Amino acid sequence: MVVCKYYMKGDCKFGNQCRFEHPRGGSGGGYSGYGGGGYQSYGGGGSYGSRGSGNYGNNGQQQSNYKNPYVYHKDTSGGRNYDGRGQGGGGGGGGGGTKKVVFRDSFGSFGGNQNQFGALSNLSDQTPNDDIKEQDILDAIKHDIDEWEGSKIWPLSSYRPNKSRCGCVPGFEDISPDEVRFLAYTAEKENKFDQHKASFASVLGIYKRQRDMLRKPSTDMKAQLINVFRGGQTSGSIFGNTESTVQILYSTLPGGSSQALGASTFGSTSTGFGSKSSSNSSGFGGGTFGNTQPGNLGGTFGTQGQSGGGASAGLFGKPASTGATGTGLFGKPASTGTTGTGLFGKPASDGTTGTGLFGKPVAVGINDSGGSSGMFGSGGSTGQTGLFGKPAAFGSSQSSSFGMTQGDFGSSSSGGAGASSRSQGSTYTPLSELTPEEKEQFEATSFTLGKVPSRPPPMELCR
Amino acid sequence: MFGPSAGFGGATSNTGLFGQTTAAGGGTHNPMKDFEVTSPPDDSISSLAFSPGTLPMTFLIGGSWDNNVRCWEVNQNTGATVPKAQQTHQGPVLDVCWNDDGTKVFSASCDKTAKMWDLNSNQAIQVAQHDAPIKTVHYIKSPNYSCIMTGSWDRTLKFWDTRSPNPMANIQLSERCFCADVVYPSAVVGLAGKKINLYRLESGPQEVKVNQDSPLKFQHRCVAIFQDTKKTGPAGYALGSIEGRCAIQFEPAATPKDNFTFKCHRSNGASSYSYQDIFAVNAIAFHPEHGTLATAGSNGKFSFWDKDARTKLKTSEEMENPITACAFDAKGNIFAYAVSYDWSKGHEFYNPQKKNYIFLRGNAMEELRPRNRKR
Repeated sequence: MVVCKYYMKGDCKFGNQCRFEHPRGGSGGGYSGYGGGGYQSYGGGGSYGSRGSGNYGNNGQQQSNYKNPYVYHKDTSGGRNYDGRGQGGGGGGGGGGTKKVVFRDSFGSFGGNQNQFGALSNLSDQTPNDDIKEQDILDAIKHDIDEWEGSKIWPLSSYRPNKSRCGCVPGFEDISPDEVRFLAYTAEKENKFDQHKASFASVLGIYKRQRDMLRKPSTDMKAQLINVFRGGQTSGSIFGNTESTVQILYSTLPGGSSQALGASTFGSTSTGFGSKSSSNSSGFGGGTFGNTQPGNLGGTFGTQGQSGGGASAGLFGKPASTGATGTGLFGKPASTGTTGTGLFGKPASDGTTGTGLFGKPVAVGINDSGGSSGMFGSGGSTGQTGLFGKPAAFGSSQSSSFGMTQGDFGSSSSGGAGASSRSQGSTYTPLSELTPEEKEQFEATSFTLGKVPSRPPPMELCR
Repeated sequence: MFGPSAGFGGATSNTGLFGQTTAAGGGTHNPMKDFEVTSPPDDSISSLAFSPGTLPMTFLIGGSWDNNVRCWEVNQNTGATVPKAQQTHQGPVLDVCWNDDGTKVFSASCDKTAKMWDLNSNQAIQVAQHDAPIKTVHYIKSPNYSCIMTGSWDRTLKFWDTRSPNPMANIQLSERCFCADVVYPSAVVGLAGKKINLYRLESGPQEVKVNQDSPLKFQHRCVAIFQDTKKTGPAGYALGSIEGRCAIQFEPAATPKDNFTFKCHRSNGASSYSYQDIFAVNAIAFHPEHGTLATAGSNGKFSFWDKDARTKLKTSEEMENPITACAFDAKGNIFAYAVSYDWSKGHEFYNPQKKNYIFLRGNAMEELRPRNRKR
């Protein structure tokens, strides 16, 4: 079936009724709008879809990204011409090469005047909010949104259209890269990485759709945006979302989002306070560490074959350790014979127990006198204590908990699909469900005070 | 003590603190030809901190996503590093700090605990507990009390005296804590939703401002308090966002014009038909002597700035990975920066094969000297 190009841009008017395919598993269009860099694979339905089939390494797009995974921060002007002007001491980097680089396009251009909008750049901070034309506000917002995506800024951010005088646009929640990373690591450990990917893609899609809605706001949304811009109070998402994107993303955590966001009684698991670090004190991850049963391990490697070699080169795979043979300053395993020290499990088709990143022999027997190398114990002598040592908290059994997740790479494919469709529906209210009064309000050019509908407009009446 | 000022791009001009030797093997991973810290962490480096000046020797600690906190001894004369010890959490380590006399190290982790590591005995004990990963940890030393402050994604800020399982203070935040800094007697906490909280710490934490709107348009990423020019106390803070922008906020500001934002960590490739790439500001550190600052970006570059003259002093070459953390040593001679992935492009761009690096730059005292001021 032909993929709908409007959907891929996040802009299909027909939604579920469209006669062309809207790929699931990704977001509504994902980040294809982000252009050539890396975001194409970020949320695109295509990459996740094919990922699920176990063909990870065979996806052309994916592969090309891996070949040059850092293309995203290639700075076109970068350091090339840098050496030549370092000498003057005033060369600065990357800038225009002028002698004294005033903070580029920042101090120079606006100094004390903090206004930074493209479309509003001629307005000073002193311009009263109400004097800014509505169309200028909307243009400024569109400019921000275009830059947000075009400049590949972290997508899961809150957004404030008027930086000094208003609140954020409700509906965009801040989710930090560190949180996403933590959730990814946790999901990997919990054998739920596909679910994490799905919820991440879903959340990306929600942000993408919301940005698109800000670009071409409906009449109702225009009014709300202008209200936000002028410092008005708003409650709830202006996009009609009922579900928090933070909660969607955190849903892969053991126990779900509520605990992580501090709303639950999870703190009751706090044991071992004040005890030695070697004890498994926290309830983190439900005791995954060190508790893996050998039986699972065997099963894991049994399924390994399915995923093929591609998986090992994948996201969390890692080839053999980087040649640090036996130095083991930080307790690195001396054995480089194992084929993988993957962060989250390892390929290890030979069935050896891999030494995952978290599974290395812990530093033991630390010698306080200093000087001698190898003071962290280069071997795997777990449990041994040195002068100031402590019992090894992390035996090699840990690595199996990561190893288990390998099966995930090859087997589960359906996780990606479900989550993304949910937000699509919640954005609009079906036309048939509206009361006549609401319909009248939505069809009018402006709302009547006191009769503003509380529900999102139907798709048919947007635009 | 210092050689002549090193040209920033000069290949062999590293004549700073660490003597004449150029760090071995510049190569693409080390475009600035700085001193590579031995035995770097096996996953991204979340945080770096140098030992306080009260110690005769210099130690560097680094927290990593590989669950470990590592400690290196740094030779101030040669730039050589010797790994000394490490401690392990049960989840990634997100922040590290020292106590005032350099005998203890604190670490905050995704395992929802913070630990106190006694370097003399090499024992670590849990000293804080949250309901979600702890993003920040800071040591507070007041004439009346000492404690640590932990900020978490569970929307609380807690203060612990390290001896009791119960916090001395537990402050509910409106949002998840994303970043924080303490310079006694002030604390600043950056939250999700672009809110800023300010506290005074003289007699326990007192709220000064809560849920202040920051002047930034996008997500907060890092914050650092700066001193006034006479170094008598905190004068304000620098706040970095994911949108390649820093805000300098004086607290209190004599006039609103003292506050400003500046752009940083952006590519120059802006043209009429395409947008320039804009990167997150991952870390900010103020030079202890000069009051100038360093920003570290997701574009794999660090920059030095003079906020008072509002000028850029220097920008580094581009590393092969983002810079995730940076720090100055207590004297201001050494600038340390960590090159590792920051998740800014999601899991798809995570390449565990890429080695992580920490570099030491030995000429910070000169490189961060304000250009137009006589000393």
